Order: sequence, then structure tokens, then C-alpha cells
Amino acid sequence: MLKNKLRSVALRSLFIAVGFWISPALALNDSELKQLVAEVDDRQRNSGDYKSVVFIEQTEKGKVTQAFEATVFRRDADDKWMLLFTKPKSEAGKGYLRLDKNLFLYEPAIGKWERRTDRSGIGGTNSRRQDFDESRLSEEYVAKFIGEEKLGKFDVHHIALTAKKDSEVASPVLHLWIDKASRNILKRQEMSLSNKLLRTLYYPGWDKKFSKSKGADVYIPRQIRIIDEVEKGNGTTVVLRDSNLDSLPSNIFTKAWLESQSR
Amino acid sequence: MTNLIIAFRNLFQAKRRTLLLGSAIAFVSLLLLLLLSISKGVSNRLIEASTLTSTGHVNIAGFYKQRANSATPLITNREEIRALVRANVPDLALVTDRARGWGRLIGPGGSFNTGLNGVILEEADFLNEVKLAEQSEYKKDGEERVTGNIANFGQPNSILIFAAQAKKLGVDVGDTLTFITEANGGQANSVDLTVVAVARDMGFLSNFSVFVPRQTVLDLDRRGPDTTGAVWIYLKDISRANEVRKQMEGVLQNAGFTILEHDPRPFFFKFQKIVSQDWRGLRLDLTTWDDEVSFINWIVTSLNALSIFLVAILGFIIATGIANSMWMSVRERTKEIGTLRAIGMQKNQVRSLFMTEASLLGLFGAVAGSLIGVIVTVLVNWAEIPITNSGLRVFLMTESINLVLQPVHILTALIFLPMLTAVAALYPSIKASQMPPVQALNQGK
Repeated sequence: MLKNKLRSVALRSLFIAVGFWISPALALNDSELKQLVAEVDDRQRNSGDYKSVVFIEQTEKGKVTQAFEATVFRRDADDKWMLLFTKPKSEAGKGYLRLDKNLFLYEPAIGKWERRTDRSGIGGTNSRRQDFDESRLSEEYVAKFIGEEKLGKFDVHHIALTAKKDSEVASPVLHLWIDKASRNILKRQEMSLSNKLLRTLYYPGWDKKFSKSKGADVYIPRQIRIIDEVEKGNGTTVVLRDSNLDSLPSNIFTKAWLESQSR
Repeated sequence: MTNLIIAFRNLFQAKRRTLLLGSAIAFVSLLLLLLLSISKGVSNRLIEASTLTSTGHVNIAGFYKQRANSATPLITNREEIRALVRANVPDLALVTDRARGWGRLIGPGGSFNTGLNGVILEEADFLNEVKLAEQSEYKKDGEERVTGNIANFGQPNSILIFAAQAKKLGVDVGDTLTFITEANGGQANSVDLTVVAVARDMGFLSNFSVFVPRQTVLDLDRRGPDTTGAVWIYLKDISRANEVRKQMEGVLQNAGFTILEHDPRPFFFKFQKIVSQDWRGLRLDLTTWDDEVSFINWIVTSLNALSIFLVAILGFIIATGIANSMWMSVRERTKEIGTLRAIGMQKNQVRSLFMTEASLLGLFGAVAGSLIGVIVTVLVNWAEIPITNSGLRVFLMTESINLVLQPVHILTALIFLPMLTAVAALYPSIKASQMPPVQALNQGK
């Protein structure tokens, strides 16, 4: 009996020792890390156009849950982006348009355009423009490997990303948990410059679509769950449906087109 | 003089009529004075609150454009600008500057967007003027005593907020708030701030301001020490603000700064305009305190308009009453008029007699109304009657009813009301003066 116990302890110790010995080998080196981040970007990137219907549900502590339906349009080659609200009726026609790295909001009720920053929430929710845009992590951030971790049942790479100097991003520090098997992001945390955790995003599922322009598959999140880490109890769920990678009409990324949708 | 004596005697003889009309005139006079004193009280409160929370008497602010499609409300060369102010403004009371930030203030009970005022403690005279709120003003079942200490303001990451804000955020003195903003470059930054004091609300303006040490704003925005939001100039005589603004525009231009064309609006209304302009670098924007609060001047304007409207309606009623009463008086005193004319009184003297009578009535009423007005003002201010309606508190920018009655208001009532009654009596007076003496004597039989 004692012999068996001793054998079990010895075996466990051996496993732990081996584990410690091999763990540095599990860490990604610089080029592997760069490759991983580039791969994350590439899997989501589409060289042509993109359109998707999004359902946004905003939960706020002590307030009635709000729900919106909108359509997101992207032309990644020209860095153009637009989001047009379609429901509820009170929000229909309202839209965001990104032109020359500036984000504008159109309010059809007053017929005015207002400049917004990338940090401002879309429609007053916890979602931001960058949540609906293509991934440019390798251009905007410098990556650092944190470790191999377990996220639920998934084996993940945990990496930290720090914004490059002069890159125009809302979050200066990001933490990503990337599924080792699928290479999809499963969890993302955004910090402030003072390293306070601001938002946690979960990506419970990804859809795969073949892009003619890219000649390869494009991965699109099926759902994004956003948790406000500062205002506890607030959060947003974004569901993406009917993603389409076909070409869009050439004239839609204009203020005139967006204004015409509410007439 | 004879006219005055006769007019006085006539008023005395028609006691009931004099008393009724005089009371009505006194009421209008009282109302006029109260409305003027409310309007002046709000106007004074606006100056006081705005120059404490959001503006100096003259402001040297501006915009910095790193690229064509952007604008940041900040200025560089802070020390140089301050030195130029000290050297060129003779009746300077104080020059200070406020670092400005904008972001979301989050507490356990709620959150809101607010302006962040970075204060230089050594130059923050306003801290001595800020009245701290009792705990019961912002906390349910709170004690009726002040729990904060203004002396703790200035400690790193301390914050002073207002009572309505504390209520909304669900915090008390000693609690921690989180402020999230966009730092230089648009990246998120945050700071945890400790509430060291809760000030009494100052109406509309205190809804959008919280106070922190200047360094907190610089750290949050990642900006250098020679930058600031605006240099604030306080003058010994606030009425010289516009003159000093124009003078400083010249001084700064001569020192090599580019000045934006004067736009009498607060800086946050100018963003869109500046963003769309095609220039880069720093341009200064000089404003006065009333430019910065022009968006709430409607409160004083509407109060004045309301006062004029009410006084005009009541004035019309009074004038009609006076005219009617004088007309009846003329008819009743036809024989007297005939006698006066028969013994040699001229037409213009008769006219003057009736008008003097009406003016005297107006003057007595105005004097009585003014006396009551002074007493009411003193009593109301002494009683510090609290305004329970929160909307009205915001509108009037005060927690209790505050009346400011000035000598010029009383003078206005003393001149306006006798003039009004005299004008009202003009037509009956003319009619009386035009009456032929023989006919008047016959009619009076």
C-alpha cells in the first residue's frame, strides 16, 4: 500500500519535473508569435468587400435592455467602413461612416453629421467600430507571448499586445486568448494606458466563408459577447448574420448614400 | 404748486378710489421689483457659478491641430502666455490656468460624461468659495453634516464633485471613482480617483464639471507640463472683460501667436468648425466669461422676457383702470372744471392738473410697492427658502430663493409707474381741458 503511494508520488513528481522542463519549449518564439498574429489577421481579412447584418443587444444595470439591428459594410482595400441602423424604427437611418481615418455619425432626425472617436460606443452600446472591422493586429501592435493556458475545454495561446507608437487604436494594451487548434480568437481583454481592465470580449463561435476576391476562406465571428469591466453589470451581445463577401456598389461609402437611406 | 395741492386734495377726497387704484399700482410695482430681483439674482448666480466652474473673466484657450481633420482643445506655451498676461493686464486680480479633460466618470451607482477641470491648487481661490454639501443632501439617510474636507483636495488623484453627481454615482467622501478618457493619440486611459469633498450644487453648470489636481489631467492625457486647456484671467473689474480680451489679442499676435477670429461661443461648440478647417499647429481663441456661458444666457433672457411680458400685461390693465377712473372723475367734476376755467385757469393748466393727479397716484403706489418689495426681499433672503423642485434648482442655479434688489430697480419702478399713469390719464385730461367753461358750468347743474 505504502509502496503504491510512494510510486504514485514519485510519478507525479516526475510529470511535474518533465512539465517544467518542457514548458519553455511550448512558448512561442518571436517569429512564431509574429506568424500567429499575422495568421489571426489573415484569417479574418478579406481583400474585397464585406457586408453583414448585426444584431446588437445592450444590457445596462437598472435599465431596460435595448436591441438594435444594423448592417455593416466594409471595403478593406480602401479602409472604408460603414454601419447603418435598420431597427428599431426610432434608430433606422442613423449610421456611422469612416472616411479618411475619421469616424462620423449621421443623425437623420436632425440631419447632422458629427465626428466621433474610435473609442465611442456604437449607438451608445459597449461595442466599438473596431469590433466590426477587419483585424489589423500585426500592423498596430507589438506582441508578447504570455503562456499556454486552458480556456474552458480549449488549449489556448495567451498573448499580450502593446500598441505601436503612432498607431491609432482605442486600446493601448490587449490580451488575446487564441485557440491553438483553430487559431481563432476566443477571448480578448482591453486595458487602458494605466493598465486597468476596461472590456472583456468572448468569441464563442466563428463562421467560415469562401472569399472569391481573396481566393481563400475568411473567418467571421458568429457572436461577440462584450463585458464592461468598469461599469459592472453592463454588457453587449453582438450577433452577426448573413455575412456576404460579394462586391458592393462603388458609391455606397459616401455621406450622400447614407443620408439617402433615411429619406 | 397749486396744481399739486389741488391734485393731492382730489386724491385725498376720493379715498376709496385712490386706495383701490393705489393698491393695484403698488402690486404692479412689487411684482416688477420681484421679477427684476429674481432675474438679477439668477444673473449674479450665473456669473458666480460660471467664473468658479467653467471660465475666467477672460480666457485664452485655443485648438491644436496635429492633422487637418482633427482638433484638440489645448494650448502650448502656457508659461509664456501667462507671463504676457501678467505684463500687460494692469488691473489683473489673478491669472491661472485649467487643464481640461473629457471622459466618463464611473461610480458604483452610475456613470455620466463630464468635463475634468485640472486645478492648480495654489491658484485655486475658488476652493475657499465652494460650499460643501451636507451628507444628507446626496445620501439617503445621510447625516446633516459635512463629511468631506476641502484641505484634502490636491492629494494625488483626489476629486471634488457636486452633490447631484455624488447622488447619481452613489458615492460618499472617501469612495473611489473611475474616470475613463481618451489620452493623446486617442487611446483609452483611466484613473481611480478618491472623493475628498462633495460641494453644493451650483445649478446647471455644476452638472458638467468635476475638479481634480492639474497633474491628474496631464497624466491622463499624457501631455507635457507646458500645455494647458485655457489660461484664465480674473480682473478687478469684470466689466472690462471684453476690452481686455481685445487688448490681449493684440499682445499675443505681436508675440507671434496666431489668433482665431472671435467667436462668442464656448469652446466645445467650435469643434466641428475647427475640425473642418485646413490648418495645422496652434491657434489661440480668446473669449470672455459671457461668451463661455452664452449657451445658458437664455435663462436670464427668458426671465427678463417673462418679466417684461407680465409687467406689460399688468401695466395695460392698470393703465386702462386709470384712464377709466380719470374719465369718470372728469365727468363727476365737470362743474369744478367749469368753475376753474371761469376764474381763469388755462386749458393746459386743467390738463396738467389731471395728469399730476394721475402721476401722484402712480408715485404713491410705486413707493408703497417698493417699500413692500424691499421688506419681502430682505425676508425671503433671510429665510433662505429652499427650492425643492430639482428642475427649478437647475434653472435658477441656486439651492434657495435668492433675490437681488438694486437701487436702480426701485428707481425704475418710481419713474416707470408715474409715467404710465400719467400717459393713461392723458386722453381724459385733454378732454377735460377742452371743455368750454359755460358748457361745463351748465352741465354741472
